[in-house]
Amino acid sequence: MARKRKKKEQLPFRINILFFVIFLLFSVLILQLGVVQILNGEEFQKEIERTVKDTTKIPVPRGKIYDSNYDVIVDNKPLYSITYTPAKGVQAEDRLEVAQKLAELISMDSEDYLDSITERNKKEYWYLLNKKKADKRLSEEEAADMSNSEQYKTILDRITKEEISDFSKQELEVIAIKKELDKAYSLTPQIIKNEDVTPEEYARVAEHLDKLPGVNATTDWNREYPYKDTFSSLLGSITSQEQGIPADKEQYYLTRGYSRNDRVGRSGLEEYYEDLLRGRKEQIQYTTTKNGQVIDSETVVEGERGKDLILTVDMEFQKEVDKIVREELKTAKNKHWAANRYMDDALAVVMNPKTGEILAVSGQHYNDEKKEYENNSFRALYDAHLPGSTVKGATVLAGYESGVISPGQSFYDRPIDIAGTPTKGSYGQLGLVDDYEALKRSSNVYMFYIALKMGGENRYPFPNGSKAAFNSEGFQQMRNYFQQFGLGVKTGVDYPYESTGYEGDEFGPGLLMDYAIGQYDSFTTLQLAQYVSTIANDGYRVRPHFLKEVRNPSETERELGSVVRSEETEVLNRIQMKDSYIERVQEGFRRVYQETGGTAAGYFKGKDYNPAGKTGTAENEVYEDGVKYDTENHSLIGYAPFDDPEVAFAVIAPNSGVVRDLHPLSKIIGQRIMDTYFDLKKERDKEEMKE
Amino acid sequence: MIKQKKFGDLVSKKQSYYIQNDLIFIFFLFVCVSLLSIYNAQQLEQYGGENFVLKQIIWFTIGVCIVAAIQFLDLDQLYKASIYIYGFGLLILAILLVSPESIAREINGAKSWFTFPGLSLQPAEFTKMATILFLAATIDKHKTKYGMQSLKTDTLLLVKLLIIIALPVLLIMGQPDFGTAMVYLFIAGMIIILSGIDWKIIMTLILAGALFVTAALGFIIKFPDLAQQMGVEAYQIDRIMTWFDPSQQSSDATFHFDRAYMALGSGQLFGKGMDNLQVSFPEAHTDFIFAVVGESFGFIGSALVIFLYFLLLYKLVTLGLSVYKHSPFGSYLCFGFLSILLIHIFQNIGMSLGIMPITGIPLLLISYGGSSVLSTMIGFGIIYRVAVEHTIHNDYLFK
Repeated sequence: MARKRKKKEQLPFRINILFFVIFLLFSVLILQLGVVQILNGEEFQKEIERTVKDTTKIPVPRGKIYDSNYDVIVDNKPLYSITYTPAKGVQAEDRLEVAQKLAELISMDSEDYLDSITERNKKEYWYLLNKKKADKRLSEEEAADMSNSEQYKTILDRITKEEISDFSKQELEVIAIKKELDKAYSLTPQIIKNEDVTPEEYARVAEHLDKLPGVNATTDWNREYPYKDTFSSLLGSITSQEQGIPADKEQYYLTRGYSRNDRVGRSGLEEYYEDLLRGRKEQIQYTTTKNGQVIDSETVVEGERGKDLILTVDMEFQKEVDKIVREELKTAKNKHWAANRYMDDALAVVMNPKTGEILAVSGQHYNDEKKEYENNSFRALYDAHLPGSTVKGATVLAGYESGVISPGQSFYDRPIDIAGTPTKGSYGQLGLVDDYEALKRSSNVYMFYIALKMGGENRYPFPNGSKAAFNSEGFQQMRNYFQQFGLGVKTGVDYPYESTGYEGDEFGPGLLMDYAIGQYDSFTTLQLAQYVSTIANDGYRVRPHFLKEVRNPSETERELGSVVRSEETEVLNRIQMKDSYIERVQEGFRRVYQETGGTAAGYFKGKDYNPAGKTGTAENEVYEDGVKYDTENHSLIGYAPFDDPEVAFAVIAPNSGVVRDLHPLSKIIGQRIMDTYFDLKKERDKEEMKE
Repeated sequence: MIKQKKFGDLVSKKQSYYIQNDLIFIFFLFVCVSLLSIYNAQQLEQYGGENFVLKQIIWFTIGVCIVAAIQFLDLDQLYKASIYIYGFGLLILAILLVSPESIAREINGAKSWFTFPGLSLQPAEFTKMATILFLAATIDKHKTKYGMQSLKTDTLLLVKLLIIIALPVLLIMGQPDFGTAMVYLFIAGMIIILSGIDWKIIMTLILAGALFVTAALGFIIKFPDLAQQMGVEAYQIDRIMTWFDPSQQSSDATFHFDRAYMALGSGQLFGKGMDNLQVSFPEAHTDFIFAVVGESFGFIGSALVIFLYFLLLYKLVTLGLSVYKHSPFGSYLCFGFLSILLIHIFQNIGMSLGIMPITGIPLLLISYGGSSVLSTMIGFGIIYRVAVEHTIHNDYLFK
């Protein structure tokens, strides 16, 4: 009996325990509820109310580039564009409404736009217009186990071809516009139409911006080159919006506040002066709540167009120089087509020897594949060639400075024959020559003695057939002297890249002799121009530069902005040689140009601009299919007027054929450049007088 | 005269039997909470204008009619019919398994719903109450047959109960719907404990079960690849894994949860009131309704809702205890229904509060949903009948 009673009481006992457990479980719920709501509630509320600040950057036009006469070389061509910057949480219906309004203001009926409309675009449009009707095609049960996107897709699938077949043109335009709107990410401007926006469309949209949420009428810019390809290879280019910042410099640009789709200078001066040209983007900060409502917008940074660059280059002169170089290259090639088959380039640099302002850079290149001539100005900075005798001014000065020769010293010019190297001589036996004569008539032997002496071989006359003493320090010494003129080092030009030339890596008395006459290391045209400028400028080596001024963006199209900075003459170094030495070389250079017997006198004697300089011919060779073909590099350096130089130049025409009665390319080019320079000057002076 | 008067009393009494004030009051409060919460969840405009409040009102109205209809049956009839109801439930579950796609589409990888045009039903929801009916009837019958309890009879009862529970669970596993199967097992466990079976047997069962479950889980976690080869579905393994390592939850699910959790917390002490919610998240009107309750009514409101559930459970416990003596069948029904409510409430609210894993179990009586409202109302109707018969019994007893 007792046992039975115990059994009977089992349920109440168990249910009481169970109820106690329920009580505990509910207590846990209440406790956790308290933790979540009372302890952490405030944090959650803050999290909800936290606003997000997004910054939108609006690009500004890039700076323009002018030449030294303030003529525009690189201009900005405005491209009107209609952009769309959706707020967060904008729905398809909102976009449709914008598209419908926009369709009345702009025309999107060109083939390109209409053809790109897909069936899906049409269906999406139809769906928005007939939402109720379309939604009914999907029963609730079907919808129940589909994700939203699946439901949407299924509904779109059930829109028939007939329903989307007869849209009017106006409707198609709406679809085309909506298609563009749909591409936009929130708070990021998306171009709806830009290439063919007419000024009228631009104005219409601009007037109705208040009724078009997110739409903006802006201008984008394309670079325009009034001088076409003249000088264009040095100006360089900028990337397109699709290319954006170059991948290899991504980090560089991103850390400087660029966006990935920013257009930046990709090469040339556009790249070198990117910082000046880019301008400052307008930055607008939007404050949005977590729900995506924009509650405030504020211009954080006022935008400013990029600064304008004024270059030292004179485009009128540049054009003439290009013309001269091309004409003469063409003439030379046409005259001896076979002999000059490897002569594809003629390069010229014209600069102010005192300031380093580069007036013109021309590089004419014959493209063998396309059979046409091209403007390759950059080659004057990029390509190094054996300069030949043009470097002899530096050799003589090195001789003076090292003490191996003294001013006025003479050597007897006849071939020198060192054991183990080919006999070396001048182009003829010149007899006894002093330093002036050696420059004027371009004596190789004179330079050989300087080289031999610097190498430690002091015998004079050199006993032909014997071995020469040689000390490689002498070689290095010679190179060091040359480098003071900019030969073999960077000129310091304001350009992303320049070659420093090719330096031979073997030493020997014969090679040093070659070096002394410009037959060993190769240099760029710009290096030669800097070298002759240094001599013209009484030993001061100035940095060549393209930039003359930086100006603030102008308010109006016609006027120039104020000057931000003017590029000043930068003296890189003064060569060690004293003035009296330099004067001797200058005089030697004058005789080359102006005295009978001077190697350039045939072209410059009697010119009223009092020129001086040095010619050069380097023996060169071209190999084709392993067959050696002898060529010559013809070069010319010069400056004028002799007593107060204002222009210096260097010309190299590499790899012309070795034939008599050759078209002496470098001399003709040099002459015509100098003539043109002074003619232009006279002409401008006259015009100024008239005014 | 006297007889006449008595008869009149009886008539008014008879009507009053059917007015169970406490149950009606609790139910009314739940309807209010449910409608207010669904209304609030809808204000976040994520449901494209569908009016769930109106639909829920319709479901509740149908539910009330069902409750009223059940009052025409008495417990004896239910007792006798329980085997057929149970059988019918199994049949429906079996039919569901072999039904073609057209009327039973797979949703989230499980065939758990009949999807007729215009109406979707989840049979397992309804079979829950049918199973409880038959479990209760079986225990009652067993107790009557074997007056004296012994280890032998207890074991026999346990076997019977296990078979009754195993059939629907197996069918549900076949869908496969692990979550619902777990709910069934929980309910079964509760009823087995309350059926009065000897502790020794129960402990043995619990130990064996625990051992098996631990071994199975351990195996799945340690060798998920092997487990998959042996027929465990990938999503089930995932679910088990994430239970033990919540950081592995799918980002989608945790994103929903994080939003809901944030909403719930931001209600703070007093809540934001009606029409003033700030955070939208999916399933706000169904599985995550408690987050809406929390954001709308704050700690005070949410605690009151939890208390309301506690009150309902308390009512079921007291009712179950008081009818046990004269109607063990009714009392087991009470405890069965209590089990259903308990597991749903604790799992759902616990999930919203971040102490239980994320599953798609609705908060009964508040969440929106036809199947869950109707099946709950069927259960509620039966309990209501138990209460009515208890009142009648007491009335006669004290005559």
